[in-house]
Amino acid sequence: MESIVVDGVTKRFTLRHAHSIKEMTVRAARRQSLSERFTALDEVSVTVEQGESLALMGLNGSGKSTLLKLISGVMQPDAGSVGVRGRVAGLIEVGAGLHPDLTGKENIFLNAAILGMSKAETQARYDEIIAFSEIEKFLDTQVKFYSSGMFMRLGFSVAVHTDPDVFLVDEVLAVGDPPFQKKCLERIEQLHGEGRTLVIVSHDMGTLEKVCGRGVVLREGRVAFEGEITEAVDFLNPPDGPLDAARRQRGREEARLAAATLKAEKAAAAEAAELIEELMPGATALSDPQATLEYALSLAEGQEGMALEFGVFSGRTLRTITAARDGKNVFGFDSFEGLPEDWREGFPAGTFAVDAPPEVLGAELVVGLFEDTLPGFLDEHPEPVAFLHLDADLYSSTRTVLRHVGPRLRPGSVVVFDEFFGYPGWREHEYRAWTEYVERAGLRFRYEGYTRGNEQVILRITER
Amino acid sequence: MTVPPLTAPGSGGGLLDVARRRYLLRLLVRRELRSRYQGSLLGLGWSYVRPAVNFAVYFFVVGIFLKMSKSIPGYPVFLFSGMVLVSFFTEMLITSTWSVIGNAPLVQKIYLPREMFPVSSALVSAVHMVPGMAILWGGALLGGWRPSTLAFGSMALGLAIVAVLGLAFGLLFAGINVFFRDFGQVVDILNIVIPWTAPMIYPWTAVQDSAGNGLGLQIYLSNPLGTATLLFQRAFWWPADPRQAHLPDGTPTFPDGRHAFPDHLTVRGLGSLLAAVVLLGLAQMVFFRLQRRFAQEL
Repeated sequence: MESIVVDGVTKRFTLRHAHSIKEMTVRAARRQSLSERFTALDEVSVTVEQGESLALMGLNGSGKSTLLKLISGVMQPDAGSVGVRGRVAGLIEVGAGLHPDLTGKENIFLNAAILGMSKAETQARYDEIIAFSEIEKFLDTQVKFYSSGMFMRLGFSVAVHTDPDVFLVDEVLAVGDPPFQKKCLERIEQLHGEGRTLVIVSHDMGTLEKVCGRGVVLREGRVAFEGEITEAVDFLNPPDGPLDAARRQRGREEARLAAATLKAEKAAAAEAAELIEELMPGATALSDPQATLEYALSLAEGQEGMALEFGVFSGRTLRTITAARDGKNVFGFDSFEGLPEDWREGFPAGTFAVDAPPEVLGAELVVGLFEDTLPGFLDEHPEPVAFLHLDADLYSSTRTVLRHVGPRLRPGSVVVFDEFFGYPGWREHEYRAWTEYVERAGLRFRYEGYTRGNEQVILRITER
Repeated sequence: MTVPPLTAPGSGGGLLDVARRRYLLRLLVRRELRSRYQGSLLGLGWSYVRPAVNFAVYFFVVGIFLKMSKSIPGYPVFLFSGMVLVSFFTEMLITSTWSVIGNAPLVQKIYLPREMFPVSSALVSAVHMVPGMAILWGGALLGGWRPSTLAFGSMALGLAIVAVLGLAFGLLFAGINVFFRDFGQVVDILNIVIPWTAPMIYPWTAVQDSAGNGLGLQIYLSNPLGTATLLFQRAFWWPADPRQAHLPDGTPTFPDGRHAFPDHLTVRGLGSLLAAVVLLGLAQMVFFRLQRRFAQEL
């Protein structure tokens, strides 16, 4: 279903050269024209589908902003018609509705009302608007004392919270500091994700390629090109040569991959959040991995037995464990040659290799592949395992460790997984190894904690 | 979810749209009041000073030196009742005329029913009239005024005429001023003339003396602003007049025995109101056509 229909629209402007009777007489006497007609848009037809994100491109003076103003209703076409479905809101030079003598707070309400919101709607979104604008401290200050950045942020925050069906963005992404720009871009992508229609005017091709699916290039008031955004960018700004074209191609590929990765990561995190809600109702949420490890160690306090770490790498976590276990019965396992096989995206075999094993006072390092070192080690050390820190990352390594060490776990033993869940493919690694082992061994356990927004999990054996 | 139809953006419903978006209108009025008096020492007090000075000048020059007080008993109330109304009208004209240009950034960037701006200016003028009205009531009460149906009815009718008339001309002038900035000067000059077109400083009988009872007088009396002024005098001055004179049938008169008000004042008032409403309709039509080109002209 189309959201915006621009049908054969022509828009002309009259540039008047003379503004007073004196000027008019002088120009008439010199036989100069009093005014000039100038065609900004010439029979332009564009259709934008519901939920589409369209880039309007072109050089300065090509008619982009005029077209945007026709869509927003600020101007009326001389010929042709414009049709829009639903409420239009524009980020057309944000801050147009801000009044310097009013305070930030008053301006939020005024500007929202100008953009078509009722009082109740504004109140409902008030906190969001303030949080987004980052100007809490200056809400009761008159806007004329704001810095230009604050002014812009306030205007933008109101505009992006007005719940429009059609959102027009005109070259505002270029203002503000980089973090705020990023936030704006994210918000615009979010609006797009909610199924709103976007029309964006910008000279920043990178942004357009990221946000828009289709591009319309205007040239001297006519549609010169319409199609796939990357083709539109190349049309407007042709590559300098085959090298440049190849470089662009690479850049686009990378951007596509990055976007896909980001999407997968979000999905994984969402899945993990679901798992937390389902399986770990009583578990403690911890702020960072170090806090998780320390909390796990506090749970294992008094539990008799060895403390083992698999995946020592730089030895940082092993030092924490050693300190908590008073340097008794602490062992670290690692080949120090890195991952024996590819793990997740960005971590091929060999990652985490170190030149030499670290020095960890009070802990004994067992160097070599787990498969090779574990059987002999366990023969020499018959004690139970009180604390197990599994940072082996891979399914195969984790499975190996559990096969050998699992039988030494006792009720009360604490296990920490370092990459349990929350990343793309997590169901195939530590999580899978643990689930399979538990099923085979008939073990019972409880989730004791996890790192908020991260991948670590603490669990404790309850019976076997 | 219902699918909204494709509509042409910016084809608003004029004054009806303004009525629909009262919340925005309220905020715009508040903004204008705030910004006008922000950082000024007297604040809203200025809306007392201006009419007070205006009043003092006329009262001393016309009332005392030219002895108008002699022929019109209770001249201060007579003068002030007309002045409150006429100032309301002239201020409405001046502020509305510049209202669209003054909001140029908004008009160029965001679509709003453009009638919003003249209407909010008119409302600001109405707020400025409140102190004057309060003084008028106070003065009339001191002079012995007592509320009556006739007084309130006359006041309401007079106010309605001026409000509708002011809005009509405000819309018209605001639209024209966008295209011809000289028009602002024209309005300034008009405002010198307007107070003298209504029987505010002098009694209407003065015109009768010069023009007789013929066409000239009828043309003079057809001025809706004049009728509104007479209505306000009937509402406040006449009832407060300490030496009320009237004919045996109750018709109010000046001390010289001539009618204080033209015949059929109420009917004239209703007629004026009707004319003002028609004018407002026409002004709205003209404004609506003009506003299509506001954004590009500013």
